[in-house]
Amino acid sequence: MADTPPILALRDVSKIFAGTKALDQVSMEVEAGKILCLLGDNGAGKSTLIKVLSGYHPPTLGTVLLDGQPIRFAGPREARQQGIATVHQDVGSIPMMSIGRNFFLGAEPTKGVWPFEHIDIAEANRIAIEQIQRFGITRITNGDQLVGTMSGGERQVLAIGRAMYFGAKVLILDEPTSALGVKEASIVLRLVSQARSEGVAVVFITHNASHAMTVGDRFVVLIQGKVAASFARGEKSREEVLNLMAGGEAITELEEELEASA
Amino acid sequence: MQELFRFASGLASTATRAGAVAALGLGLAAPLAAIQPAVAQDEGPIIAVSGPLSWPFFAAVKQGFDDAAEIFGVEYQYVAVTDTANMTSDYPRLLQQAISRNPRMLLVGEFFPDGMDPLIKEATAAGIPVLIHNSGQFFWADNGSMGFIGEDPYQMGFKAGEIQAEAGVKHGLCFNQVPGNPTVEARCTGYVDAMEKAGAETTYMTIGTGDATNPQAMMQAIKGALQANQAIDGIYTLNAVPAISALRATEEVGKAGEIMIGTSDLSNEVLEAIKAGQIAFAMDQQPYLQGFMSIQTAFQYLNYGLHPIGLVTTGPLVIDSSNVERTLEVNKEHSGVRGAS
Amino acid sequence: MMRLVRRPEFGALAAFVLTYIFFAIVTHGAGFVSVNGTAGWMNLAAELGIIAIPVGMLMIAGEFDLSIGSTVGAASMVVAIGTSFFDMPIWPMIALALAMGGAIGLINGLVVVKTNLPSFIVTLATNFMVLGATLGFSRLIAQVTSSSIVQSDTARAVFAAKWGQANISILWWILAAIIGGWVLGKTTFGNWIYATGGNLQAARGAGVPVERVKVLLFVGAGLAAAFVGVLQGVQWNSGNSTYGQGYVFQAPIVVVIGGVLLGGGYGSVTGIFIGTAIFGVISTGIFYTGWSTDWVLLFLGGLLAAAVLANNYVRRMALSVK
Repeated sequence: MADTPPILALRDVSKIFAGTKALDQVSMEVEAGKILCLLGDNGAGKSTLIKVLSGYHPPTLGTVLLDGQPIRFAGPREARQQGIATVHQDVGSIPMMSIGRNFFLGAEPTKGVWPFEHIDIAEANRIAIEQIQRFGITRITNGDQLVGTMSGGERQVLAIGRAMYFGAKVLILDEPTSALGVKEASIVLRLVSQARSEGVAVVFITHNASHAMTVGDRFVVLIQGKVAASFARGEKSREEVLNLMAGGEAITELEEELEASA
Repeated sequence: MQELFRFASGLASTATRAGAVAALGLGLAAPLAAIQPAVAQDEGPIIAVSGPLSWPFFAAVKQGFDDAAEIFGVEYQYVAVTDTANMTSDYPRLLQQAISRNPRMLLVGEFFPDGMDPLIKEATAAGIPVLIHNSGQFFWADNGSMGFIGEDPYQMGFKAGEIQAEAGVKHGLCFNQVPGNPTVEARCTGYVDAMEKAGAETTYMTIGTGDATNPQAMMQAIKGALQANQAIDGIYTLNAVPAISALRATEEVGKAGEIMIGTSDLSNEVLEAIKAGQIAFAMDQQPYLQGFMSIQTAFQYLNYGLHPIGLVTTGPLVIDSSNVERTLEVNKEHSGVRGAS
Repeated sequence: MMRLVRRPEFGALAAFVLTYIFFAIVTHGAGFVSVNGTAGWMNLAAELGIIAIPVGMLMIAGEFDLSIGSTVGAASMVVAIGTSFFDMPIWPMIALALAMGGAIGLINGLVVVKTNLPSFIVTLATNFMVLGATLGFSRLIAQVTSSSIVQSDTARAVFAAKWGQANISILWWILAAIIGGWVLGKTTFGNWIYATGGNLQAARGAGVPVERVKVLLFVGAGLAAAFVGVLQGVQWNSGNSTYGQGYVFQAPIVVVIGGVLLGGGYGSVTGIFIGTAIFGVISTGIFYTGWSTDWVLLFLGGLLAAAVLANNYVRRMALSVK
């Protein structure tokens, strides 16, 4: 463990927009086969952190390390080529396109020679269905079905499965469960732990502490752009995590108020 | 959307030039403007508010303006819309802008009297000499303008109807490609009246506004009408483009030569078809003369206080097999003059 | 059956069948359903359809092109002035007209992707500018705004051949549909078109060169418009600056009737083809009825609204069925 450097690491990374510090000296490590949960309230700097990790923004100060080597991504495309896949909350899929076409967008399997070169739709559909079934979506069997007919959880599975199929080493999941019901969320969480067992490094961004506690190996809590706490599984209780995320006071106050009125 | 069209067509009018000094002089000269040489307004431009140049017809009008301006050494500005979608509201606006520039003289095509006539009255009341051309033959006498150069669309249509009725047409079709344009509609009214007076039947038809420049769409429409009503044996079109569409339609329904086709306005194709005996006649209102004589009158009036009295008619000149050769010759030698291309 | 209903062109097909039956009945005896009547509405639809297919593909990618109208007229004038005023042979002039159409598309595309301005406005401006330039240059060079075209037999064979009353434009229309359908439905580029219009960010995220997709589609629309300009010019023996102005809105209209979402991301070339056919049937058929033509636009508008409603319903079905 000590011999292999983490796949992706941040060292004292700050990101400053027009004089405002969105990230302030953030350090963290993402290891293969581990789930790192990134917790924080709205505006805590999670989105900026995702953009730094996925190559959209270069850090203003500090270093990004890939496999122990400092790296400066030219853009998201380069990060993707290095195996860093980002699945966004809602922008990952195209509702009016079929499952097979969505799955292979930008990497379409083709057959025939130009001008008769064309997408191998049957093959695309077969693989797409195979992949989502592997992650527990058995209800869908037709790759021609429009993505818009899938539920939110199923779409997340499609997007995550797609990233894994194309060889993601690091999977950055932006709020994959926040818009989902309990049952749907559990499918996604199961998929996340499956990704871990296949050796993928997962960055799981959420503001839902219980989802994080269910699957996480390590936890980083962001508050106003700073790392407020960094701890391993089992070191803190759910209540402690919640309090940390909210800055420690709001939840306690609310609980006291509720108790008083009861 | 509408605003955009207006904006775009506004671009057609030239930029306003300062005319504040002339404006002061206007009020004083007002009532006597009609008999005084326009010394008081020497500063202002001569502005022609006339038709869209995308129509070959008005291209010929402008040719007349240009030629006369060169011959008489007069400077003038031609103002027109480029987009014909909202002419009813665009033309009064263009005229308003022209008046506000305190022109030495206005040469106006009064295409849309409802909006334009009050403005012309304002202009004449303010002492601006106004000469009407092309359209406005029923209004010039009452709005203070000095005269009218052009023809009566109703009379043109009436003449077309008379020719067809005389030739034995029993059921005439008037095809109006621009419904809503009163001048053009008056031609159909004239045609219908003349035909009915002679005891013939008539059908009046229009087409969707988007298709007025699509010869294929007009042909299919006429073809449909000929199929629906087998009795039609005469067609009168109001422009050269639909005339050719009508000719093709008669061919497609197998009645080439059986249906008599006449049209208003010219094009090279129409002239060739007249020469070949496929189209019977074209009514020419000699647009070149309307432009030329407007500038000529402006020159004579502004310099000597002279002008023709009342209505100067420039049409219709009937072009048929008897004079088509000469027209074609002129058209080849002086392109644009005949309004045919 | 449900799979058929879920296809984007199903609504259009249903609307076509109903419209056709309607006109077949009300024009009984006037020859609308005859060979010549059919050739008539197909001739009309073909010219519009050749433009509507690339315009529709562009709309699927989320962009409009309203400049096609003026490009039609401009192309016809290039050929007309070139052949009759400069005595040039027709084929180089046709090549020049097509190149000009492609260039107008290229400019549209580059301006849209570089400025991020709505293409609706950009191409509307281009439409005015191209029309204005055509009028201006025509008057400057030849003192005309429409002009005869000096023909050649080969040009007539390619652009104006006829079988009975059916024009060769119908074949070009079908060819455009086959190529367009292939590109949109089968190729990688087609997948990118859908993705670009369906979710621009997601497409970009998946590595689709969305800018290149849009620019190429604009070029295609410009080329098609110039092609129709040449076709109309050769067929009618004359160029005219104002040819094509009706297509500015007719093209997007038939595209939407054909089941393409106005906002992009969904639709098919088959649908656009059928949408154009519906337009051809309605706008021609109504004249075979012998009814007062004062009502044409009202009737046309009503039928278009009905067709779009039918489409909307079908699309909801497509998304609701699990």
